Amino acid sequence: MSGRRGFLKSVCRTAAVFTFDQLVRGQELPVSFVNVAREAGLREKTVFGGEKKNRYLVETTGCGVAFYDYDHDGWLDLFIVNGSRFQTAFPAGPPTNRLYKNNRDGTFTDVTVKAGLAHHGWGQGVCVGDYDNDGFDDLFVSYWGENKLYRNRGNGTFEDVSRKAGITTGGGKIPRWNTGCAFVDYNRDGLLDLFVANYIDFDLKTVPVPENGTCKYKGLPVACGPPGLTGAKNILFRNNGDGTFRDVSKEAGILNTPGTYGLGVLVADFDNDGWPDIYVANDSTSSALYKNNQDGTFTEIGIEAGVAYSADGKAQAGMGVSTADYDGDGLLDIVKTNFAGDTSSLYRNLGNNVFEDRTFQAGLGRNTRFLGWGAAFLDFDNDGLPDILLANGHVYPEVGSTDTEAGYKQRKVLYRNVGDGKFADVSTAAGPGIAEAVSARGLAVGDFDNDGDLDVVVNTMNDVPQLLRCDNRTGRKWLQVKLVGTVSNRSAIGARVVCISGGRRQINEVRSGGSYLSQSDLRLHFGLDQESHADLEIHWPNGKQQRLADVAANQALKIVEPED
Amino acid sequence: MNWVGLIWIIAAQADWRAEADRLKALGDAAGALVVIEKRPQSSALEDEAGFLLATMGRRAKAIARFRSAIRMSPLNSSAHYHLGVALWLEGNRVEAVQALSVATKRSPTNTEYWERLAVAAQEMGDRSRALEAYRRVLTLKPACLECRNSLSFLLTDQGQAAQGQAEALRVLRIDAKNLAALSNLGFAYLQQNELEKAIEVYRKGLQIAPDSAVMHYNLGLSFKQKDELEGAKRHLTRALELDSQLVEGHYTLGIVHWQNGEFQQAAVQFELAAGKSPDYADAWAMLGTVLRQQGEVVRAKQALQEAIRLRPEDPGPYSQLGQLLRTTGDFEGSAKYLAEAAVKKAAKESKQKEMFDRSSMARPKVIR
Repeated sequence: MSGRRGFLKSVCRTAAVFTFDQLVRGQELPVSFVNVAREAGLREKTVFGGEKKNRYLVETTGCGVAFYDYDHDGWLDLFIVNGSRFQTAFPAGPPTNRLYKNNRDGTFTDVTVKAGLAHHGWGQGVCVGDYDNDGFDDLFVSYWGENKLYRNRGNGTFEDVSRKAGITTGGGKIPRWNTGCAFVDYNRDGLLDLFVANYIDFDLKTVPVPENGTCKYKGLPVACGPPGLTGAKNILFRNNGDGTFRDVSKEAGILNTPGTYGLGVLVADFDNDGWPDIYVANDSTSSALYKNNQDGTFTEIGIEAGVAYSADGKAQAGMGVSTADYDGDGLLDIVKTNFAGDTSSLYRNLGNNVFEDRTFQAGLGRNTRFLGWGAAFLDFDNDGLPDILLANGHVYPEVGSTDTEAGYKQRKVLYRNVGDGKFADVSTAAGPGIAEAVSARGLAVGDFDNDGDLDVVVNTMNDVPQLLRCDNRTGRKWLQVKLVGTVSNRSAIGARVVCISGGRRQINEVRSGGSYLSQSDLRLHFGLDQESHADLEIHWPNGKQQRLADVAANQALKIVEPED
Repeated sequence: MNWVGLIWIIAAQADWRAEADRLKALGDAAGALVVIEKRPQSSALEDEAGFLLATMGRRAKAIARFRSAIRMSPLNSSAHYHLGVALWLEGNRVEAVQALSVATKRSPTNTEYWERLAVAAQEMGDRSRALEAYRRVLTLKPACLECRNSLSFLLTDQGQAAQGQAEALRVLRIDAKNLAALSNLGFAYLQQNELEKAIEVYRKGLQIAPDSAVMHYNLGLSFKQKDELEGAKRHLTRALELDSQLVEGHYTLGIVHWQNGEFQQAAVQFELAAGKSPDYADAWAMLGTVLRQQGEVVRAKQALQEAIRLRPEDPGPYSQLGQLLRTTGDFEGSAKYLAEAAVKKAAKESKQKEMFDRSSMARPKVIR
């Protein structure tokens, strides 16, 4: 046998034995994620429910996290939402949310108290947006209980304007369980409105408890719900332009859908009509897509659009959501995390409000043992193709740790976009930060060290958060775009950027909220592969378009909306 | 009565008893019945007559005689037991379990009665009664490995996997090669998410019985749970080579192919499952799913319609059919099915009001 024929035969044999993923896994990935939380100074644990077992579902769902440049110095700071615990004294003081200022040297300083953000409660979601258009991005934190809106004074401190702004949700018989949130200029009046998903009408006095023996997971008595409990209704607050908001949920059509178990919120212009639509990942029931009717109202079209169920038509336990144009067809697609024993969902946007579940064709069907929360499309290797990162961890601490990966603490899953609509699972080759098992919840993405690659922050259950620094050895180029609205809202939330380089068109939008109850960097990041220049098209929320040609790679660019 | 009379009666009694037993031993139930029918009525003889009628296949008459025996003596545990067995064979399962239950009360140390009650209750889905019955059997007959295997399975199936595991291990301490106990132990490990241990147990089972289709199936299922799809494919395929009637094997292999993006192979397996078990609604629904994803509109539509016919309360196939019709331009049909999906979903969720169990997993097969 000639050497060439022998070689071919051995290749064929290899192809027959090894799967595509195995072959990819065998290659070294030139990108590694390393958890630098401790070195960076993130030492405060997130407290959320019991460490070994829980009585109520409200103790299990955890909270979000934000990459947020609160002081507008061009360096991403961190806001970590915190929770609470029942029947516990906190001798060192109750846990509070944390704001960490970026010291620009890889470390952070806790400035929570100085900033006026120390607040204790059952924190849930976080989202950012300049609701009063004063040039400083403000902060909204959702709670099981009263929500908080913090106005950024621009001097490193915040003012709690929750009551004044009218976004508190109290007054009912039981506290509302507010979850995912997003600032969105749904009526395109230049003012950021606010959408808040709600989970369950949850009353501690009446909710069944594990001791009743009816609530079980694989035979273990666990916290009850959400099946069997009443789903709560989502809220849309319209910005009045005078620092106050008005609940317009009813007139906007949000209440036309029955109460659902809403968690992750994702705002994007899915049908390319220039108006923001809203997708909500619902737990244990069909997920919802609120189509913007361009007249101040929405129509829920989740089932018709094909983004409500799994590929085989089953309701799923949706948690986190993200969007990107993963196949480069100019339409924003959706990824959603779900419960253990199920896959994550990948919905390919076919246009005209029709989506197709491509989970299995794309290669996301191979992982079913993880219970997913935070979700992000991110181009971690700067090749111009959006990859997918999923943060995992079981709901119930009672499942403990088993010798499988299905315990309470789970590793993350990283899918690399290999083109042709397919993804390869590269989790085991992507560094210790991906491999380390934690019970993860919120996840946000941003380049905190401004080195041109995307880092990740993950909130956890009763543990310190993870700060996953991306160490990228690809040498590929990138571009970062910070938009500032003038006629449109100052945060430019809803603005779409088309980045054209090397014959490839990438799209993304400035987005508030997303993932699982979290906020990623408001700057947009584009991987340019080997291209040294790119053309940019900016579609501002008010409809205006702007073009920038031949923009040099490897820079953070600030673009202000032209006023004329 | 004098001594002569008494001796004559005893002799006569012995005569007819011996004759009846002789005929029974020869398999002549009708002849034995004739002998018994000549005797004066008693509860015991009514019970015996019923038993003979039952062996002759005349169950309705047998049931009447058992009832008659019970009327004569409600304490006749044998009559209750026989009545229970006959009713079970007649398909009257509720009354059968009641009768067997009475038999165990009348004769609480009779292991046969408890065992029969356990099996009947288990098949009826009355798990708590079955559990109690098996526990009683094992108190009376601790060496009954078969009973302990049944108890192990029931405990795991009822969500008490740790106890199910303990019972399976007790059997294996006595008989390390007991296949039923190994399959129960694997089931208990699977329920506790101990996938590595389940795989180890099923591998051990295959060392003992390399051609056990059930063990290959369970091992394949364990690999699937662990997302090791190549291992799952290998063992599920082998299980089907060994037992081509294992329809769940076809279904699970179809799911594994689907997970792997191998839609054509998945469709073949779902089609085989649905072909071999035409009432298998899940197989039709999945066949419709993969055919739809392959763009085979006509066949997908047929499969989904069959899934709807078999299980009209499941919203999944309606929503899929709605999506499918939409892609073909049949917007009216699409709207109809999507609306129906929403109605079915609401109905399903309202039924879920009292259900809090979030467990969802494919069940392994057990060896009895």
